Amino acid sequence: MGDKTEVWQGTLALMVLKTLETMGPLHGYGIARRIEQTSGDAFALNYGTLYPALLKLEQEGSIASEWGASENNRKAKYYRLTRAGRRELARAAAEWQQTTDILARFLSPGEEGA
Amino acid sequence: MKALRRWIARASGLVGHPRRERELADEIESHLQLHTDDNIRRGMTPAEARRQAVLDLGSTEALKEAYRDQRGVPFADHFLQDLKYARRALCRDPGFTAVAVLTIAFGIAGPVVTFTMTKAWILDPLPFADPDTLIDLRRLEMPSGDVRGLIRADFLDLKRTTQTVRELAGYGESEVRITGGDRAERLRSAMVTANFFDVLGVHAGRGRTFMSGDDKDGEPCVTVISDALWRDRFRLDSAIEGRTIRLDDRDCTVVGVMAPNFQFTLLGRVDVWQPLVLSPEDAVDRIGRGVRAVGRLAPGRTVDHARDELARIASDLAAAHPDTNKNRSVRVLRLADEVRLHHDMGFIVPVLFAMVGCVLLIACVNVTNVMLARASTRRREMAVRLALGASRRRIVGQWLVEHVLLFVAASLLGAGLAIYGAEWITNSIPLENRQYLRNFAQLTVGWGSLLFALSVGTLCGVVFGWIPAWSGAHVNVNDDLRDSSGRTTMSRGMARVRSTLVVAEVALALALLISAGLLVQTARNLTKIDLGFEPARLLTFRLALDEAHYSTPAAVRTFYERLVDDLAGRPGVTGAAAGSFVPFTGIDQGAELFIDGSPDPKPSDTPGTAIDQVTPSYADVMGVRVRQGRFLAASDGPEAPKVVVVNDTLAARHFPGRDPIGARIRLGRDSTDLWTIVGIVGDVKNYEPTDRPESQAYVSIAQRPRRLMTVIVRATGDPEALASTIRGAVASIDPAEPVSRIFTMEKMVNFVTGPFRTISTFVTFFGVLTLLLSAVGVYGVIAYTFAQRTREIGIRMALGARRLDVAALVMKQLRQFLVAAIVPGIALAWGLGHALEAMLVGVTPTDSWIYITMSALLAAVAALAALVPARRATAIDPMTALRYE
Repeated sequence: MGDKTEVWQGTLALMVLKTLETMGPLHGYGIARRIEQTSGDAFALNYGTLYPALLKLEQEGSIASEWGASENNRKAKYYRLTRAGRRELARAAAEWQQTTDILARFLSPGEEGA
Repeated sequence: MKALRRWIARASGLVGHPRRERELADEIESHLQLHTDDNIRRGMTPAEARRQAVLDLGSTEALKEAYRDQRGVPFADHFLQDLKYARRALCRDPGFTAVAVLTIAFGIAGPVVTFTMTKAWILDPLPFADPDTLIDLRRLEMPSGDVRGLIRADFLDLKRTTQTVRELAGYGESEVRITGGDRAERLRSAMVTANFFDVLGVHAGRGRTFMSGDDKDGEPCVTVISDALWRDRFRLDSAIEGRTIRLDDRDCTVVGVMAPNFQFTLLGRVDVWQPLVLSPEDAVDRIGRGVRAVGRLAPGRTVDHARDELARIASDLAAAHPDTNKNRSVRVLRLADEVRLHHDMGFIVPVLFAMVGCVLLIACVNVTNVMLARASTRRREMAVRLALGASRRRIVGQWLVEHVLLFVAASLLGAGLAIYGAEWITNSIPLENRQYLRNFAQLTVGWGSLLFALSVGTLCGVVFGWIPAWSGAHVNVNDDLRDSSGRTTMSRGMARVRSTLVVAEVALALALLISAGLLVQTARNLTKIDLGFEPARLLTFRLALDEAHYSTPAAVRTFYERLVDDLAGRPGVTGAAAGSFVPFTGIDQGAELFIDGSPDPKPSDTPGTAIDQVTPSYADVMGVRVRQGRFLAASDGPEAPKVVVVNDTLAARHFPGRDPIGARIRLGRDSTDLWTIVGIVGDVKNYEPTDRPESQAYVSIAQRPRRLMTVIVRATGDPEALASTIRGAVASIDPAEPVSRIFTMEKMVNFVTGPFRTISTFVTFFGVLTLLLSAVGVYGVIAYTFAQRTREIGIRMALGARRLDVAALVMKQLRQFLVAAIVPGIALAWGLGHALEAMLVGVTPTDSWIYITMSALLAAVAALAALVPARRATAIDPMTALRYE
């Protein structure tokens, strides 16, 4: 797992929310695996930072949790998106989109100059 | 909004800890299982799969910590953790904890008692409506500065003229005889103008107080009684209002009962309130009777306004009536300030606080010293915690929490001890004095006192906690962990801190001891002061003969002569006498003095003298010394030439350089009787052992009878046992005459010196306490130092040092402490002594004998404390010591 990109501060919450929107209720390990897969294993997700982030989202009311059974019948805590979380996701995604668009315009080579 | 939700969730995370901890552990475990399952599916062995999962997750402890920080409020969370840890640390060493808590509790109890006293007697507002607008008004005699009651005529003029005082009420104390019912009794009464209760803004507990008109001349007699009288004499009679009682042989209607807690401290205990009738004669008599006054300021006016205006009116009166009022002015004080003056506590409070503060400091220093020693033995523990990643801030915080917890526990115990202290203070005040103290001297250690205890405790905990906290957090991780010997030493800096603390402690103890010495010496001097008579074995009581039955001078005289003869013949009695002005009874009597042959001075310049109407046996029974001539005799009857005996002061003041015997004087401006001086007697102290001498004249009751008298009886044994003898003797002559105020003379002298002795005992108690505490402090530091120097001493002894040399080493350290402590200690004592100066009798605040003896006492006790480690040091076996690691 040598030189994989670290997850940027602040983007982890957005990834969690997006994952839950796409996948429906999921446990912590599932969320982590999904994020890694989606990034094409380019991210080295520090599992230790995931759980405090989940707690924070839960405290903010964006997600809710309950205990359930996993596909291979393990007890696990499942997180799901709340309505407030859906709104938060839309807002954060739009904001992120805007930021990347602006950055993309800065970084795309010489379109305007040509 | 989001942040708010998060904080609410976080705050709620502080509670329900264990469940949440379990849930987190479960979640981590579930994560690991899921990951392990995955790994196995990818082909790892179960053991390898689990290992990899754990590795990927990283430190579960760090995860938990991060999770916890997110979950709760980190600061509060740490605090709770520290609290739990501190409790555990304190419980691990219950002996130390108990001693420390007890030490500080004793230290805190002193300030709490003092605070409770100050609050109850000085700080709490008077229990009247809007007490800040109440004033006390008195006559000020110039240039002597003596403060007396207003003359009634002046009172009426001031009351009529003033604009700044909305309402002015007059009052005075008196006694009244109540008859009818099962027994005759003398009661304490107060004569007050009808507006008195309205000015104070108080209402009766039952019925009403006085109404305007109640104090008009010729109105039917009405009275308000105290709750205590209603209880004791009328057995809570529910029909008390409107009931007629007999006071001084007049029928009076009870119109009200005051509330149980009503108290006008300037009057002391009052059983019966009666309207003060100011007659038309009072309105013009400017050398007549007095009245004290209390006033309610007009809206928007201040005490200063009133003071200016009333002084102006007084000077107008002086201009209008120069013969009488030339030297008169008025003194205006807030009523609360007057009450405070009366309590005589104002100047002593800062001194008491300084003293109990010293005790508290010493207690804190002692505990801190032990804490420092513990800090050094816990260096390894601290080093381990630091190595494991604790921040220095957390370690300081943890020490502080431990210290503060200790102090808070001590504060609670201290407040508990203060309850006993306050009780002791109340009990040490003679009953007779309590009535003049707020709440009848009852002290309640209430919420205010508890809060005070907790704040002082917490403050001390934080301040004194810093020292061990700082030293505990500043360990060197490498050195302290490497030091495997388990032996711990204190850094030089810390040793210096401890020595400084002990020096401060010894200095404070010295200052307190010297102050206590001054007060104890004063107490001893007070009992040694010559009162001019012999107070031992004297019993006194008061009689006020009924005017209707004893209407002639002969009847009064006969009664007292028979009573005194009867008493003198009873078993257990060596002599009996009667006097109108017996020392320490609180009743005084005086007259203007005119010397026959000299021109009469103006009223404002006329000297006065105390007058004592006595039976001829008085000088013998009291033990008043006859200096020259003779005392009054049985032969000085009503028909015989009028004779007087004067005291040393009167003779010296008015007959300087000549023999007063044979000279004649007049007593009272309007009196034409000439009294021939037949003898001179020694001065007596009439009010306090420290009185300045005053002129006094003795005349025989045969020649000047009086109904209100104090009878004195000298007993062969315990004077208290004579109470029934007295009642029997009085009843055998006239069973209708009530006897009141049966007190031994010694008790009455104690009423006066009581508050002083209370304070002196209080201070002595704390003086001894500090002596012991500082001895413990000295012992602790010296013992510690020499335990550290065991090896060094072993080497010295191996090289030929004798035991005496080793003892000298210990004593050298002790000497350093004492020398360093003596200058600040004496400086502090000097300051305290001067603050106490007003209380001292027969001893100056710089009495060198007391300074020397107290310093010697302290040195001796400190030496005794150092003896234990000295013995231990000299007993060191060089071989063992050298091997000692």
